[in-house]
Amino acid sequence: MISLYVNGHPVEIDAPADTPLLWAIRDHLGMTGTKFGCGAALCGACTVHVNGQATRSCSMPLGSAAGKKVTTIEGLSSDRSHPLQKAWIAEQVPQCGYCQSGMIMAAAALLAETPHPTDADIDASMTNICRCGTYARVRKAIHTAAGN
Amino acid sequence: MLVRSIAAIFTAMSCSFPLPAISDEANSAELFAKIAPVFQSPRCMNCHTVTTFPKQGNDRHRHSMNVARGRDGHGVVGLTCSACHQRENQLASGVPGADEDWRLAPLSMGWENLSVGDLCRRLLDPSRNGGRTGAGVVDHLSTNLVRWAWAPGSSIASGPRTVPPLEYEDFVHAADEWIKTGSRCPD
Amino acid sequence: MRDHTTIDRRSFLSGVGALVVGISWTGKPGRAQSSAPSRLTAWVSISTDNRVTVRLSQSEIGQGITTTLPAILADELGADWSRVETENSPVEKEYQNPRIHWMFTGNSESIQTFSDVMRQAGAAAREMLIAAAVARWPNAKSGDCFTQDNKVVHRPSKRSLGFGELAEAASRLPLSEHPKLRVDTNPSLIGRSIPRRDIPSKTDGAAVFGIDFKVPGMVYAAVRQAPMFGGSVDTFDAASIAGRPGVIGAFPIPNGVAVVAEHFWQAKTALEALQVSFKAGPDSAFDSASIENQYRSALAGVSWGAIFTKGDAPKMVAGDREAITREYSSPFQAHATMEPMNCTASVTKDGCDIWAPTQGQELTKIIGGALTKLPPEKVRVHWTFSGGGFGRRLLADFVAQAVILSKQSGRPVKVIWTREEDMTHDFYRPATLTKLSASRGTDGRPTAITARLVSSTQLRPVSPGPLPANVDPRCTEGLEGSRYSIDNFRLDYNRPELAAPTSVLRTTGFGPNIFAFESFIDELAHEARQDPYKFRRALLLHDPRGLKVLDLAAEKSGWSKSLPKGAGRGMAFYEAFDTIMAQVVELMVDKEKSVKLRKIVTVADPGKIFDPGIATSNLEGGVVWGLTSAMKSEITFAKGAAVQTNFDGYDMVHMWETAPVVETYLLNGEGNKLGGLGEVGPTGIPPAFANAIFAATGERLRSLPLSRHGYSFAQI
Repeated sequence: MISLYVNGHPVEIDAPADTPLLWAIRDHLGMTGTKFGCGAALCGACTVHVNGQATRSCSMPLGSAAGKKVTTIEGLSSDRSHPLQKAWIAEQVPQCGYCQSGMIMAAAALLAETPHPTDADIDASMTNICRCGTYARVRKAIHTAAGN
Repeated sequence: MLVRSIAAIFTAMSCSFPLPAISDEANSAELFAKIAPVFQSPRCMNCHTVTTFPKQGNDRHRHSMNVARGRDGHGVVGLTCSACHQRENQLASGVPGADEDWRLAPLSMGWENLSVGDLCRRLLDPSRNGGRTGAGVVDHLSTNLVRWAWAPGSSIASGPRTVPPLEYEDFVHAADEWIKTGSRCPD
Repeated sequence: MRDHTTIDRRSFLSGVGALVVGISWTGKPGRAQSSAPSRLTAWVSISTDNRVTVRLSQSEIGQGITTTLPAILADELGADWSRVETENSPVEKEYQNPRIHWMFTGNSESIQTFSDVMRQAGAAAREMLIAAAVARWPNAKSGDCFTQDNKVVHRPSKRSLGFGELAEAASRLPLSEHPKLRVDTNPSLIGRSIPRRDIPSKTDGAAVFGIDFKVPGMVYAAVRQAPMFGGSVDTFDAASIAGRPGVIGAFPIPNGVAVVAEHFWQAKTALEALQVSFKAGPDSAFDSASIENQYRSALAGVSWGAIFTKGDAPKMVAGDREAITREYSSPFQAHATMEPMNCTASVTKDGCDIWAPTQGQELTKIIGGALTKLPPEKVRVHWTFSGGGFGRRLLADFVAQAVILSKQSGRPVKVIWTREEDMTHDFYRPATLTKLSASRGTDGRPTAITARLVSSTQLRPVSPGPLPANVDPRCTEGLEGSRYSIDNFRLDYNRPELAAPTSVLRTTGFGPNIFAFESFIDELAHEARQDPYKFRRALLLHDPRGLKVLDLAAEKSGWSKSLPKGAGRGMAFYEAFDTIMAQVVELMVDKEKSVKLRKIVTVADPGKIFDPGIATSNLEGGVVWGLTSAMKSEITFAKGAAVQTNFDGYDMVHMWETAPVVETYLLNGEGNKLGGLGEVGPTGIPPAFANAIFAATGERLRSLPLSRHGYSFAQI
């Protein structure tokens, strides 16, 4: 049993310590907003926050998350009220939508430390892959959420 | 430890203490030439860059995903090194990790494009190596991040990563000897 | 050019009584309804509490179809948009694409084909509701009634009745088979940008993609397919993983082996521990070099299918000593949908349920039936959101695995491919090799063009029927004539048979063919010492609609404005999927061949714009797709297998690499044919990009990706 906090709630997960946090969240907790894209920390679809820091959960073993505070897309807000979620809807960002959970979580980590990011800040932080090519709207929505 | 401390005193105070014999000096420079390929191996050089980004692979290509050095060598907000690099190598993803914060060496300790002699002088320059004395340099070699180079794990795409050309123990021993013999640098 | 045959009215309007199973656009299973809604047509049902439910036969792969199609129907019906819901249709005959009698989502034709179906269905339901209202109002005439906001309104008396009150009676009326379409000068939904209904659920993790779908008792499968194409499992030792936690068993699948376990990670790690050996097939020993040899000998050979002939281009080119000949090529490409292939299936003696992120609804059902020997009515296909499709999900190889594994394990099984399985077991966009020759008039403009195209198949894996030799419409589209005024034109095509599997990928043949053709036109302009825009313009003087698209692109891109040293603009003009397009790429190249994009302009005329917001989003994203295709995408083969396995070897364009300015302009042309928009956005980018590099550097790039010539995007 590995204990951690997910979206503010203490949880215990009965899985080997080397199970990637991604699959523990998806299969064991049944929270499927966090996506599997590459399994090699290359695409960012699985981005969650661990102790507030954007982390690619496919590459973090569950054991390393023990005792830590994990936030997933489901925990960003309870009612799509996070400024980024509102901006994502206002700017009509997603197409297929598969990468967007990770995209929003990466952006949320950026805004938490850099409330008014420049384009250069966004370029450096947002390395997630979107095959549909929504990047221009992602950028615009981050600026919108930041009130830039 | 005693040996190292004595070496440190010799190094730090070399101006006021008698220098080691000439033969030792030549030997010392040779010792560095022996260990230099370790410092120059991709496992070390990829994070001891002079660029604003880390590198990857034996071909030392720019790290994918535009990973940036950031202000303190730990990456940038939203994409720190530890967003992907955890406390151990990840079998699942192939992402390497060590039981220490994964990070770049500071720019002052960038070793790219240096000759063996310049690399040696760079290592010993307290204004660039974080104020380390010769022995302090050797102490750094025992960190988990350095030790990782000898247990670098496997990339999913290209298989097991190559390790530096000397065994770790031989490397540390030779580095110790290098300091003890006066930490001389090849020309 | 594709024809759109008239719709068989009975087949699409009937279908009452079909089982309603669907996923609503929130991705959550459709909510239980207190009283069964009344079905008016195959496409519309209305509940007593005044909710209109529109059936969708097209899957949401990111193109926004779950918003636009119901909006078209709602406008025709006079529905209140806030009370319109959707559900996915069953896979039945009446929901087929009426043009080709096959149920699928692709070929950029969800709007092209189904907009009319939606209008007819909305109009039929409207007429039935009005008839039901008239029956309730003494002396009222249907001609005096109209619908609005889910109500039938009697204009003279201003009386009204809600749809919910009328639905049951309306559903008992005879089907309105030849409904009159509304002549509405002020539609409330069409022509406007409507917020996409799937988007909120895609911002909080609620949207259910195939990989997210859950059914009680479900277990997971990880698969390992033979590393070489045409290979198969020689032996595997199930005992080697016996007793591992959660493992239910190891089972054979057609070209590999799967491990089924309680959790995916248990299955994946057990599969890695499984002792298995593979054997190559008779054709497994191929690589990129052997394929290139195949293409080269095909191009030099005599076996051709004559696909398009206008005038006598071969004779003119052969007789012209000044004829210009150039060769272009494009690589194999992987679909690389962000959501890897996956499927959930539950096979019991009572039936087979398949939940798949699929574009190939009908093929999925056929595969389910064939593998279970169950009658069609017992094979139920449910589709989820797809994390990208791009043509990959028209196929059903991953579906077959889920069905087989559910049958063998006796449990509902979700198969999930790793990215490595996904990239190395794709059906790739085939490489192309194209030889273009032109004979020119004294003004330098082409009077005759001959094209010889070599490409392995795109259509066969997704086509229900057989294909004759050297015929493949998906491969040849884009080179079957031109909108330019060129009096003599000839396309010959050779389809080599490859051991590497190939199929359709977003932009289909248009992608590689328009790269070749628009690069060639650019070369002809250069040879004639004419501005590439003016050169194209002179070839379009007969075509006011095309000219308008071209001119707008030139204007918005600032074509005539001078550029700093090292910068260049390139242009492409084309018709694809019945949409007329022009794109201009402006970029800067440095000495290291590092490319910084400056601005990209797209002008599209699909004939009619249903939703400008969604159309723009599609085109903007398509531009980015096109940049990846132009600069980066290439699959190579060694020892019968794809070399690239993940995004490190097969990278996508990233945010910092895209152009800082991307502008999109939409035109409502006077065309009598609707064009598709899902695939045109990427199509012109590779030639416009290569033409811009030529303008900036003088280096003409005739093969893709551009990275093979040493170019890369500037990194920050």
